[in-house]
Amino acid sequence: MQLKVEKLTHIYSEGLPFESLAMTDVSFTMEQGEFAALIGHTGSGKSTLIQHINGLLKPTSGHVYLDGVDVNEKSPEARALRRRIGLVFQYPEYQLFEETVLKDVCFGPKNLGLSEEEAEEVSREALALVGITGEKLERSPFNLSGGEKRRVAIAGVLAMDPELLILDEPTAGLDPRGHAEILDAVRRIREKKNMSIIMVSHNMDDVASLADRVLVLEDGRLIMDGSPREIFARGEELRAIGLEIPSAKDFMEKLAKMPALKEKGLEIDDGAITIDEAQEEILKLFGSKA
Amino acid sequence: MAIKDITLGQYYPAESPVHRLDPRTKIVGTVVYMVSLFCVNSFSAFALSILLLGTVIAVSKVPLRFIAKGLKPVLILIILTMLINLFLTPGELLLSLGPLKVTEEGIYRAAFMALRLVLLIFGSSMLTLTTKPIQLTDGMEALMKPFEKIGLPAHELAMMMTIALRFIPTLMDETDKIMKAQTARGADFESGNFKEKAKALVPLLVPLFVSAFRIAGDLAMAMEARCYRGGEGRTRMNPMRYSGRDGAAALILALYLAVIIFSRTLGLF
Ligand SMILES: Nc1ncnc2c1ncn2[C@@H]1O[C@H](COP(=O)(O)OP(=O)(O)O)[C@@H](O)[C@H]1O
Ligand SMILES: [Mg+2]
Repeated sequence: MQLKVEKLTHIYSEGLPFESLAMTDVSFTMEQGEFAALIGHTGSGKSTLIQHINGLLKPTSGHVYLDGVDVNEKSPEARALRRRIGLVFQYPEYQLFEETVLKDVCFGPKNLGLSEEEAEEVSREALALVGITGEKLERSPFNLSGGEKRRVAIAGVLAMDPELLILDEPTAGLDPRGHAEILDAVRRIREKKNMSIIMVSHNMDDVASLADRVLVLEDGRLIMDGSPREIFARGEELRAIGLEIPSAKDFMEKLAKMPALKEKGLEIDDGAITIDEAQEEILKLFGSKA
Repeated sequence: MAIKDITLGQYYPAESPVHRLDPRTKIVGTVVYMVSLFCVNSFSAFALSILLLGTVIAVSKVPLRFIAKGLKPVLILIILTMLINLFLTPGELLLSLGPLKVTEEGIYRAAFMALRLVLLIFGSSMLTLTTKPIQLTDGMEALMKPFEKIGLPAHELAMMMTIALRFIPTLMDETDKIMKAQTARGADFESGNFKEKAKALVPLLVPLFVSAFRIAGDLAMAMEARCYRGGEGRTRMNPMRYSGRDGAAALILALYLAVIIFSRTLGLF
């Protein structure tokens, strides 16, 4: 489905002495099948923005349209469209509540009106997609590791078969292994399902290797919107607002600046943003020397 | 979200003499004022109570509209109390609607009761609106101190209150978050009959309890790590001090109380 955010402004606790302007005049459009990464430092409004997309927060001014329908309309049509959005909050493991993993994942599909058997079927599928299988399905979700809990929570949303999946910092606070498992799950979702994805992330390596579009928020404003290559080419601007660039890109920039390289008359393109691209570029360098 | 809009028990940050009063003065003042409301039984005495509270509100810079929001959750109670008093007070019959009888005394009682409740709520709201929770519990601890001799654990009680107050916003945030997350999974907290509504709360309550225990565990660990051992010999970062302002407030209050008591015993007004 198409997502269109138009001049979105949000003020928390409007009219109270502690009101705060969290979102100013944000506009962008996203087509079906896109994978967008949403970046910005803490408090820049990322979570605020994504909660508008399924109508959990109401804009102070502006609109959010899904396939041309305003999500905040009271019509059944808008309600149905809101249900096509799968929102996974930050630290989603804190929303688990059922006796078993499988039952917990079934909660969403059952709320959509699926029968017990149908719900179980889609839930097993969703769990397999995030790499949870076998006896773990019958375990209590509270007895899993942090990374597993989180994947169960993601499966809970996946099982509702959304058209647009939104992940709010899905790897925050996980160890490297948990982190890698979540990324694998996101990759599998991307391959197997025709879902649009918005992923909030602080890890620029993940962004570079997964996303085909990057949105940059700063102080509630959308200040950059483009392909990962375009965005990460603006390293100085990103650093100025407290963001990093991918480690591969950082390495290539340092490499390109090395005087020794210049002395030898070697040219290197520092545009690579993933390890694979960097490797290719360096191999090319070796090749030209040979 | 609606949860965030509850003002009862909330602090309203502002710079005013009322905010700067010593919490002990404010706590005692509030208690005295509330007791006085139960002694008051004439309109002219009520006028005095309203005048006093009105002045405090005006000086405190807290908008009336903000205080009035605290009435919302108890509005039904007030209306019910009014109706019961209006129809069930025996006395001089003015009007009768079938089994319901309105008496002159009933009208007085209903009006007094409503006034009393509104003033009670406004008065107690003023205490919490102008006093930070931490100051409030510090004040309570100091006031309970004399009772330690008879075994009242003043510091522990105050600490429990401080922690409870400190974590109300945290748990509200947590509730808000979990509610949103379950709503995003299609949970419905609003429609359905009583039984369905109660059942719909399970996906909210289980994670909330899990969170509360996690937070409690973390806090206990952090307190132990800093060698917290209870109240014995602890000093304060911001010791409380009475100032001239507190003397003035006490004087006004004493004057008010004297007038109320005299008017009642001598039937002056
Ligand atoms: N429920 C809330 N009430 C008031 N202010 C909020 C609330 N949630 C977020 N904010 C404020 O809005 C701004 C953006 O927050 P958020 O969207 O959570 O940022 P991010 O997800 O990018 O870290 C911050 O300044 C934050 O303090
Ligand atoms: Mg956030």
